[in-house]
Amino acid sequence: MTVECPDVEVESGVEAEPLAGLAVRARDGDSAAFEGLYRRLARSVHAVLLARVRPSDAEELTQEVFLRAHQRLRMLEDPALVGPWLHAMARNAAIDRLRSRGRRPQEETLTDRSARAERSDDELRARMLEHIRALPEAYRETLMMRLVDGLDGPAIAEATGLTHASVRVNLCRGMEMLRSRLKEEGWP
Amino acid sequence: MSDDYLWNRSGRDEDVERLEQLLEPLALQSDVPRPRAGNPGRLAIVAAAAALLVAILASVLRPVEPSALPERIDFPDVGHVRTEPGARGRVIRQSPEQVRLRLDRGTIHASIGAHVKPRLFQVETPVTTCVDLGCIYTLTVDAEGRSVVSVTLGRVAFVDGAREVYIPTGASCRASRRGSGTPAYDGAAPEFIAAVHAFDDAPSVERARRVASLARKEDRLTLWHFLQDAAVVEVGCDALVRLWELPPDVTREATLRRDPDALAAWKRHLGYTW
Repeated sequence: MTVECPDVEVESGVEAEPLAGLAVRARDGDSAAFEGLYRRLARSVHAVLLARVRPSDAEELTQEVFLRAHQRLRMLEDPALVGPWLHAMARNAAIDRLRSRGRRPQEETLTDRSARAERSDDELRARMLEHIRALPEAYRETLMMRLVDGLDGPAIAEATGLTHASVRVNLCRGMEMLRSRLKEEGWP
Repeated sequence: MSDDYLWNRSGRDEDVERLEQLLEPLALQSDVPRPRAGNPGRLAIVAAAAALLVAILASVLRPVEPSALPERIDFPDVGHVRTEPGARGRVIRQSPEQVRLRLDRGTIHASIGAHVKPRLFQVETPVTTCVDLGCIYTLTVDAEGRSVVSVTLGRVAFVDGAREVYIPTGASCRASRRGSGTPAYDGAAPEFIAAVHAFDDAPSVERARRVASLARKEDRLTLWHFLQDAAVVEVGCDALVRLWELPPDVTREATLRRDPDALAAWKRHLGYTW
């Protein structure tokens, strides 16, 4: 069996390698490839989580998802779908976390907040999260990836396995809905 | 309105840029498990108050004997530990400067946040201390105290005395009463791993040569650690030169002297960043 040089590859080659190739190598036990998957997909996994759970949980669950993925990589049937596979695990992890917390509200409600005169950045952030979370799933996850975790359209397409056209539509429609809701609420 | 900025950041869109700026602090703290400074300010004050409370409680309730660890231990703003049935130990310290767990027996799976500063989270076993450098790992201690760490992501260090052993993603290392062993990648050939274990059990130049003879280029992690050991530095150096050649500006003599700059240059030459 050939084992590639893990850290050297992490520093140089994994950024350009197709995700499917990384997934195959990671499934075969190549630790550098697994770290490469983390580098390339952690942000989209985080965004999927943040679309559902509070920020501190999203940060922690991102690592949890990759830990589970590492343990279950052999169950990944189609390496080309490693992104969607990780995102599905992230959605399940978020559901488990919400159940364990008894589905308590993740942040204060908009009504409670709108009664306040003071709008700190933290509050604005929390309100914005709620607005994005209220969007349809396809839009909310895509916008989280774009607006929070900084992925551009092509990177989102790669991570999600969606076509460029689909991602572009999700981004535009999601942003359109978000603008509309923000306008209704009197955002500047 | 053009959606080019939303799609690939070409052009301008003030709304989107404002949202990006507002939401950026919520982004994943790090794409890779690299160390980052802890959260200052209010969080530190809260943590300090919590640490004081913990210290007061600990002084009253300090357990004498290792007890069964709960199934999961959460360390706010640091990470968590899942334990397997039978794991015994205790939380020794929990403060903004250090979270220290004692594992006397059994297995734990630690998941420490990428944002946590390196060395903050430590697990003490009967024979070594496992120091987190930002990662996910599994640590097992058997009835004799022998410890084995396997790193899923990131890296840890085994620290005993002045010696530090670095274990990165995909590698494992054992430690015993004799001290920390030699790390090796889990994907290495079984014969190679067996030779490393044999060396750790009873170190000798002959056993080191056996390891070196079986080493391939990708086994550089193990060979680099030989450079730390005066008894086998020559074996490690010769094997590394054969597989990787000398780094620029490093001499064999400096390597054999275990000159810190030479060893650091070797690390960089081999692709390591720790």
